Amino acid sequence: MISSDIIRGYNDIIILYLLLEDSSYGYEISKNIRQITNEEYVMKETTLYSAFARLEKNGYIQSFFGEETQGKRRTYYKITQEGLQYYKEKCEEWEVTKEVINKFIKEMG
Amino acid sequence: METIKNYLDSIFIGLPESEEIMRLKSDLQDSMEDKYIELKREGKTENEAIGIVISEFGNIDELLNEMEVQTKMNQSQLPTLDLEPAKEYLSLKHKSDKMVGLGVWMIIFSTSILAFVYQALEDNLFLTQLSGNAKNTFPALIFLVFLIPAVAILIYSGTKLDSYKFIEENKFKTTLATRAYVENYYNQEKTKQTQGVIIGVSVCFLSLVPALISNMISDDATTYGGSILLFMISIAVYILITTGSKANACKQLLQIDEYKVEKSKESKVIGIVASIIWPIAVCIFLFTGLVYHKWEINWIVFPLTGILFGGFCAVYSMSTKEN
Repeated sequence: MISSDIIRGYNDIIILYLLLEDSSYGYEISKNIRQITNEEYVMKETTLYSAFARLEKNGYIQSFFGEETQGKRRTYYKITQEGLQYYKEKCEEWEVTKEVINKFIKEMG
Repeated sequence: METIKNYLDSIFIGLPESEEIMRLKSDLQDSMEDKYIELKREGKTENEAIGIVISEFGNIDELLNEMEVQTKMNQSQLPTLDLEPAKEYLSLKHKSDKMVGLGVWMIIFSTSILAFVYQALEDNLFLTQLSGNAKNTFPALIFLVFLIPAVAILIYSGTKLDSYKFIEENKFKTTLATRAYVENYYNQEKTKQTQGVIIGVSVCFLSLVPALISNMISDDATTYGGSILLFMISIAVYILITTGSKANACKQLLQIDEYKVEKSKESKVIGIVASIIWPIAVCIFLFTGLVYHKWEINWIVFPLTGILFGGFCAVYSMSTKEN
């Protein structure tokens, strides 16, 4: 399992990616992360919700109340235009980061 | 499911109850419950599921920093209540409440015995050689014999909990183990409390029976009936005071219902009013008795004060709730 320290700077990418297609809510996002990464990365609840707070403050996502299901009125999040822009920038940043780090990675036989 | 709610409650203790924070708390709860239900569906046991949900919760400070929450009271500065002191508080509180019950019982019982002795002397049942004046004062003497130790007991009971004042001022936080223990204990006590209240209230109503019957017999008998009524009420009040004691102490430790941090103000106001109104009632009682010799009727001041005080408490809590 990946430690949360290493991945910290990329939590935003992960969450925004999962919002690209459709709006979603806390548990669904956390479940998707778990499934997509084959349980290699499990995002802590507080990490997820502090990312929501940060992204919303910066105008990258918007929260709204969903329809009531199973007696619960969940908070949904959707990505904004600024969020999409930010996502693209983060992806480019990752490409560069990956290239840079890769230069220092050696296959040890 | 309850465990998740309690876990979040304990984490959010002391945080401002703003709309933002409450929304966050309910979002977290939904999320954790969803995860819990799914884990259960995958065949995990209850304990495993709870364990996973809580281990994947993370660190609340991370979240609060992001939301720039100013914790009103810095939680880390509050003393932590471990299991042992919590148990000791529960047992001391119960003992102290039993003493309060005993003290109040003695006060009401003393008025009951007073009414009885007054009428018995009037009817020349005993101490027939006493002068008229002595006959008027003697019941008051008996009354004081009960009243003085009762007051002493009430004062002493208050000092018993001095070292746990910080609990009653809501200046503490509990460990999870303490919370779990107290919750468990509270659930057992809740049913007993309900039973006690039912018995206490029934005795209250039954106390009217001898009063009504004696009223039908004669005026003199009414005083004996009143004496029995007071005696039964004294027992009912003892039951009512002591029965909720353990459950209330648990509520205090859990900081729920009327013991929520912002609510403790209310009980203080009620406490202040109580400490004024009851001594006034006793003064009126003694004054009308000793000066006007109205022992046969002036005990009515206690049930009346009780009704007025109860009404005040109800109106006061209603009005603060609306705010």
